[in-house]
Amino acid sequence: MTQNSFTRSNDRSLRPVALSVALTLAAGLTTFSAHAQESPADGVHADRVDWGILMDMSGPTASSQSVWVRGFQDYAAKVNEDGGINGRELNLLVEDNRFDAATDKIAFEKLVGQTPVIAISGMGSSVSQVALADTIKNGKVPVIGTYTPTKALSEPVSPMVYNGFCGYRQQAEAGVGYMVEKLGLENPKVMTVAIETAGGQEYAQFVADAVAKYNGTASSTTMKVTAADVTPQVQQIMSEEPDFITIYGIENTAILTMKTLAQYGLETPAFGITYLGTPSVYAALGAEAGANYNFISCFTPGGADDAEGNAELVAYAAEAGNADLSGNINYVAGWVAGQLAAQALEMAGENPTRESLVAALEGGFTVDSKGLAAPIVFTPEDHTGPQVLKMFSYDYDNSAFTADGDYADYEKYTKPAE
Amino acid sequence: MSDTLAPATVAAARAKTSPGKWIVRAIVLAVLIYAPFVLTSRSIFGIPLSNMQLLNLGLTQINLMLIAMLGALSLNFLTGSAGLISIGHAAFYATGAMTAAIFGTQLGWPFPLVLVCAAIAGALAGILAGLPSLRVRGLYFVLSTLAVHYVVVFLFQEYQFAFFGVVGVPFAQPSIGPIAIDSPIRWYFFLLPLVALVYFGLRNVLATREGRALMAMRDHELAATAMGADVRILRLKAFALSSAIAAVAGALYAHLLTNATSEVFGINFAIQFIAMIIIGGLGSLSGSLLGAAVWLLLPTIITGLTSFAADSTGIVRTVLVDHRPQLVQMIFGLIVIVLLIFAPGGMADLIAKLRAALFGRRHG
Repeated sequence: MTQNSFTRSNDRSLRPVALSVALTLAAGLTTFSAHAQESPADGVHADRVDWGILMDMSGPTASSQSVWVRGFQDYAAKVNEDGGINGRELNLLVEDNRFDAATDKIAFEKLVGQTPVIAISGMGSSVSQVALADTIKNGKVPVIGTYTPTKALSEPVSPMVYNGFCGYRQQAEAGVGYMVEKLGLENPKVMTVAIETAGGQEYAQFVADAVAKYNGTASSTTMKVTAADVTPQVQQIMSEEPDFITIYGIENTAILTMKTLAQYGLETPAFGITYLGTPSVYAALGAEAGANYNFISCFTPGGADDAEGNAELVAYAAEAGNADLSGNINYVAGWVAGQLAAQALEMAGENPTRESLVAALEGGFTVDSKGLAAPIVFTPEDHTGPQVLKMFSYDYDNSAFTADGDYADYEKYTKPAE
Repeated sequence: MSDTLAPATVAAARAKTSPGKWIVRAIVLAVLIYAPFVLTSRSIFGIPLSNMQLLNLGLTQINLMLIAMLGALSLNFLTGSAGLISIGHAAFYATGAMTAAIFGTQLGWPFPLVLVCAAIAGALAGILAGLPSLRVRGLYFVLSTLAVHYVVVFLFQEYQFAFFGVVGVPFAQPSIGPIAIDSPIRWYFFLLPLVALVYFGLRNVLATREGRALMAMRDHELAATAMGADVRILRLKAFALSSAIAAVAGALYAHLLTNATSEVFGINFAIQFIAMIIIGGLGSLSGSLLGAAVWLLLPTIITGLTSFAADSTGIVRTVLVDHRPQLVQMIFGLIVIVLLIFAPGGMADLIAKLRAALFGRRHG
């Protein structure tokens, strides 16, 4: 306890400090007054449109989500360099969720009312998506281009939500279908390794549904998002001996799982979800463990083919000083989400509002990513977003991703049965 | 009047309050009542304010801060009165959230009753968690509260997976009778009196005979025993009261978020309360309020300040825009370190010193 330790002489010595604090506060308030301005309710200014992004820029999932944001930012910068959208710049307000549900709620409400935006993209935390789903669907700010497409937010279809990332169901169906065919399996035995999140649980269920189509059996094992050791999970894989495994989580989930499998001498084929298709995952795995690892994606990594959109992305990333990110699937996904946002805003007309934006999209639209993904079709009944995927692996000799086939080859896996 | 948890508090509490202080209190009350309207309308007396004039703050954040204040108050009461440092506060929050899920989400009991159940469950959990304090002290006791943390979080996780799955436990919109707490402003006017109630309640507890015995126990356990205080019972009572408040805070927290998973109540969640009371002032109830405010609001204010650099380029952009989250955390950490070096007594002590410097009065 520090009371009674204070004397009048100390009072005097602190007087300048106290006055300095008071003066600093006064100066600060004056500075803020100079910046005083009324924010337009929908984030539409004379020269710019404010667009919100909610993602984990710090915390355990930042390694993938911050890269997605960089892709989105670079595409927005490119749009602005080309004259903006209907004469206005696309101005991104990025809020860091810090992998914390409370911060997520604060940030969401900030973008709705404090620093209003016309729409929001990202929403990288599946737990927060679940918590905010009703608020978003009953609110006025559309979420266009989600990073984590959870069922709670996506189903039933809402005019307030447009997914911008490969759907979990499609990833499960395409991935399982491809592996079953490639390995020539009958009655496949498949295991899902997932982190303990809402998205992880959904994905495991989608995998089980996909496996059931081939009369196979599915099981799953989970781990903490911050797991540093996956020996118990790998022991489970060893005891169940699946034909192949599929991994859901963050980069570290894939790295730990594949390296531990290699450590135990297991060569179980594996495929990861789109988020886990990054050069850093393959670099961490090394050629031996990486040889058994593929990833399923609705986006093509930069440099993996010579499509117009791909060349454009690679060139701009280099110009923006992000050449090292162009091969990262999350950067590509962010770039495509930027394309989706720009197109949506363009459709909202010269003087967009939240209401006019929602109305403009309601009839459906198609996003042409110029080959970075198959055409992304939104209809009034379907806001799933990217639905066609293909499998990628990594060529260590040439340090480049290679796709197995074309998007069209995989449509059979995700096409609904007639 | 100081609220430091020391015998001096009791004497000070009896001191007469000057009319000037009543005027200040009336102004503070008026500000507290008007503030949520300012934060909601983003204007003051009809004059629009920019986001930075409002320090980049929103009402939901203030509501979360008020809930954190309950946690900080209860921990500082425990630490300041009984001298017991606990890192089990997240466990009591989780206990409250789990109780609210059982009685609210699953059984559909009215919200006020759910809070009462949370308080009872928290008190019981607190007594259990406090039992080791009868035998062990210091770091050993801290470790026992850490064990309690993991046990309770494990129980929450099992409960969550058994009844709701990995998606988390949903919490319905609370209401008190016909009044639904369905907006940030309603949350604010529900939470503010509750924080005031807990603050003044704890202050009064400390002014009672048992409160004085608690402080005597904290200062010199043997002497307190010699004076006739049953320190074992006192310790458990302090634990029960502290954890009951924390459990109510946990139930409120879960309802405000509308969905909670076991991961929400991790060890970082527990440590933040220790940080709050150290920053605010160990052993000071008003320091608990200040500590929670600094911990919850300062990162947002710093984030807002760096937004002035949004249009910058080059190295300034790299530092202030591209790495803003990391920068905010670094600045926040530095401020806390500087504060602890130059004001080891915490914010409460620093403010008392500044007041004395400005108005030429001694505190304490």
